[in-house]
Amino acid sequence: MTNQNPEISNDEWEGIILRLQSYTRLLVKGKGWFRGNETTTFLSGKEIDDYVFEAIGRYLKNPEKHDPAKRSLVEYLKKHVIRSLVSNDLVSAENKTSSDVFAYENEKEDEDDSIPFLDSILPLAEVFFEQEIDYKEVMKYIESEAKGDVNVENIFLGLAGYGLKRAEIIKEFDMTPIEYDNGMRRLITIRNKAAKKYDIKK
Amino acid sequence: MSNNSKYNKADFIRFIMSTVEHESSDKEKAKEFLSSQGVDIDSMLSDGMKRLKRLQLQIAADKTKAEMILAETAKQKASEWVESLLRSTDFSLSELVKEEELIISFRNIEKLGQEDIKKILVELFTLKFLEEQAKSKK
Repeated sequence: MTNQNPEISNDEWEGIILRLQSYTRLLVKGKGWFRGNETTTFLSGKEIDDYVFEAIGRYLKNPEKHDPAKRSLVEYLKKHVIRSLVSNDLVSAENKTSSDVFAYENEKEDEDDSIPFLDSILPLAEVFFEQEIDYKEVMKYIESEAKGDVNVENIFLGLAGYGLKRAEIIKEFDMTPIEYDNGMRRLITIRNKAAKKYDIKK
Repeated sequence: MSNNSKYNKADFIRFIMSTVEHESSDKEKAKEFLSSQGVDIDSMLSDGMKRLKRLQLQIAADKTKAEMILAETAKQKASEWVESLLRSTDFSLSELVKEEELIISFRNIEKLGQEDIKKILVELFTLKFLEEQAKSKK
């Protein structure tokens, strides 16, 4: 069979599928930070696969909507398609009057990249989060657990305090990419400990 | 523990979303995370690639169908256009060729019969309308 997108090899597609599966799994049922808990079935009876392949299908139908000069395909699919699909299901299931969230996907196609992405999606991302979590308490716990591990402290400060990206944190705090990745791994362990401590179901 | 963290809910969301981004930021990290969740990577990838191929085939078929419909519409429009041209009393093929900058590979176009002219023009205008449709979609 001929590949409709010859520039994307099977190996690259495998990487895309793995990353989208990982991202969607985290978003839909991950760690209990998000709604959904222990099931692969999400709102509207959808499975993780359904979101992943709906996103890929949208791209295959309209590949021109992705601008490779602005971001990679997987980043586009994660941030502009999957998040919209999931949040739309969340919002439309819980608040029928807010179904215009679907417009978000198109609005953000030409987003101004000078605005930090995570800041720009905060209002949208909020819908994913459980209302009952004591955010301040959890953050204070993570901060205290990170204390003494300079890289982890700096990564946490960079991400949560300043909204920095990976490359910015590496530069700002003068660490190597490996130190960042290892530090991030330890920070995620702390995040998971926080989930356990505050009985946020994993 | 006192509730006096300097971080607010927005910071919390930003932090959690950052960790989610990290765990799907490359193939190896994604594999690591999925394995920790008990996902059978090989099976997931095998199923995923099959589903991708099905999607690609379906979209290619839909695209071909849409193109055929567009081509049929353009041909119909071209036929009507050519019919009206040929009915016009002051129609001149050589003038039309110049005006529309048509490329016709017949040296003696004056010797062509009405049906030949019609056939050639319908083909040319079908292509022209298809090109216009393609441009307007961009």
